[in-house]
Amino acid sequence: MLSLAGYHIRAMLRNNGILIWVVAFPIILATLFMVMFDGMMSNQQAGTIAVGVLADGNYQAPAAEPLRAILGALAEEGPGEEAFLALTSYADADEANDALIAREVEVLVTVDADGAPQMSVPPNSLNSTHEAMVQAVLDRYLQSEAAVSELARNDPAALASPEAVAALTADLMGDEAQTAEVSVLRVDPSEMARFYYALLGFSTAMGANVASVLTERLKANLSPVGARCQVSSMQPARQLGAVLIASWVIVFCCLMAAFCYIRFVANVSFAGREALAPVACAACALVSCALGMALWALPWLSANVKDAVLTVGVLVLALPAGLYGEPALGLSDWLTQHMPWLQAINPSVQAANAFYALTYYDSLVPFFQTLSTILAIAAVLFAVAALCMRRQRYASL
Amino acid sequence: MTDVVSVSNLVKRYGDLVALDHFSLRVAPGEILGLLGPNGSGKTTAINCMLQLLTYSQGSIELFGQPMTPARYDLKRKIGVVPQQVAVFDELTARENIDCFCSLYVSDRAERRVLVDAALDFVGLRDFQRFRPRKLSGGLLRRLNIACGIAHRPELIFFDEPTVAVDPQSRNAILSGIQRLRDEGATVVYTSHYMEEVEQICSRIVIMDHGRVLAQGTADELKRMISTGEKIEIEVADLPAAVLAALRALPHVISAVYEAGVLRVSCEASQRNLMDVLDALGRADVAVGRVWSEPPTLNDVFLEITGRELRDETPEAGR
Repeated sequence: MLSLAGYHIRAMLRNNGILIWVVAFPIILATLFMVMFDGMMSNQQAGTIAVGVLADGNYQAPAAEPLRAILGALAEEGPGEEAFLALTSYADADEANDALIAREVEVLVTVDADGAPQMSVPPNSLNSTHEAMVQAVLDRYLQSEAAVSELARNDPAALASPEAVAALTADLMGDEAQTAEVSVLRVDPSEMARFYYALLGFSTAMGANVASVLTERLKANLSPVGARCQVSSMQPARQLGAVLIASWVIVFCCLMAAFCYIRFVANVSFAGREALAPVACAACALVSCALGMALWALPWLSANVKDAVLTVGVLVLALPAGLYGEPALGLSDWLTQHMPWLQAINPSVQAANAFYALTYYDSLVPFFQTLSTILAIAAVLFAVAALCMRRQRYASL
Repeated sequence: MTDVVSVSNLVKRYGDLVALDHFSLRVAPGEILGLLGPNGSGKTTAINCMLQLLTYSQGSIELFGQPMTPARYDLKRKIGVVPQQVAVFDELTARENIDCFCSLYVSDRAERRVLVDAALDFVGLRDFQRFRPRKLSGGLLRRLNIACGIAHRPELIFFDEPTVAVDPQSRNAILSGIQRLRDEGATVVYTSHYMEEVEQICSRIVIMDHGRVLAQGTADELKRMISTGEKIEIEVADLPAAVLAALRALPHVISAVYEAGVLRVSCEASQRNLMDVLDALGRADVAVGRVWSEPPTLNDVFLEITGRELRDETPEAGR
């Protein structure tokens, strides 16, 4: 059996189709993700926002003092950080508008007679992220102003002393003013990392091709080589065992290669639990083999139909794992919430979940629970394959 | 001595089509049995039933005196199969292929090495042992196909049309190889629709059509079963109808046909057929060109039994 497994491994490593789809494709896809996500991340870098300020009488009035203070603070560079805003003051309104139209500044801030800030954007503005960010700052300022005015009206004593005003201002304007960020995960979640986990789930399903090609070679109704194997004196169970060993070794190595590429080249974090990744890969390789063997052991369909079913199946299984972008991730979350059983029987989803659980949860219990689910799916599929392979004679060939 | 193969009243149906119709067969040890019939006559189906690849509706199959079932791995160990289609792994070299299929029967690596070497030498592929199948010619590929089926030294070997699409040189190598296997003690069941090679190597021949055995015996026995004893062909520029009628009236002449300048005469077995025909032509002053005379072939046997030609397709070039 081991000799046969060895030859199966050798044959698969020389099979161009397997090399392309099972070995190279996940790495190619990971590379595409890297390029794509790198662009997206750079787009999300805020950078310094060029803001024009009309430094007229309203802006210089005492009522606008808090606004000046805020804008001034945001225009200062922090330790190791560039300034959030780059302020340019204009004494004249026309000059300020010309600068805005010429897009020398992205936003123009003016102050009205009541001391309320107003924001102008260039004509044909595209509602850029920078505009939204400045708008958010001004909105927050206005909300705080309104809150202070309300407080002064209802509880003047609260603003009686300078200390009280300073404390209130700090509460309203400080970084920790309203909410505290609490995380139940070991590391900060990364939206991009989910795609890589989904990619490992996809690779798991794609790995079924190895077992399928090898199982096809055991069945007399699927290939001439299968007929030769079937009339031999080696029992089908032992031949199936050889296929299992060979396909597991190949898929495991492919998953490990994909994992290493994702970890060390794409630099996706597994939060210091890389040592457990081979365990996840081993379980995923097992379910991958079981999937291919079960499909190809079915007595009903021709090899071409099975091939098509597997190709489509791999793509469909990877969809709820979230491989195909934000909508797929949304679908994944929706299915997890409303149809968890469907996610539970999907090898791709479970494989992706295993790496997610490995990375993010404090406890390893969810990780091993996911592995148990994967092994249970594999056991069912192996049982199907073994039952179908017991059928040794055909009505026609 | 117990028959190596004993098949009785085998019936195999594909829906309404009866592929094997109470097919019976016995093969004695050390025999090369030729299963001769046109394409679709049921030869491969019969072999697949014997190998337990196909289910069948009725009948019994015994190999080596024991009932054959899918789980008789002890019997399968003694059987070698050379299928009609080349069945090898494209990704493995010739040597690896032989060793791989041998490993389905023999687990000991050292023992296998000896067997693989012997198989390579037997089919003459030693120089090509590191070649992958796609680098081999059609004839060499067929030889590899044979080596994969015989490397484990089986006692009973099924050859299912092993010479289809093979050049004459490789064909001769294959046929002489099969005879050597027989000489070394193997029993061979050989299917073909090429009567010449069946006649060349088989000690006994079974002619089948429509899943039925039509006749069996040695080549000579089969030829004696039919009325045609000699076939004469003569090139004649012009043959008057009266002369043709006179030829048909000759004793021992079964039929005489004149077509495209060639006179074809079928005769019963007799010592003087050719002389009688040439005398009749001479008496009528008919000018004679080239003359051929030959005993009946298996095709004549098949033609007389079934009313149609054995070879129902154009033979490949070079055959």
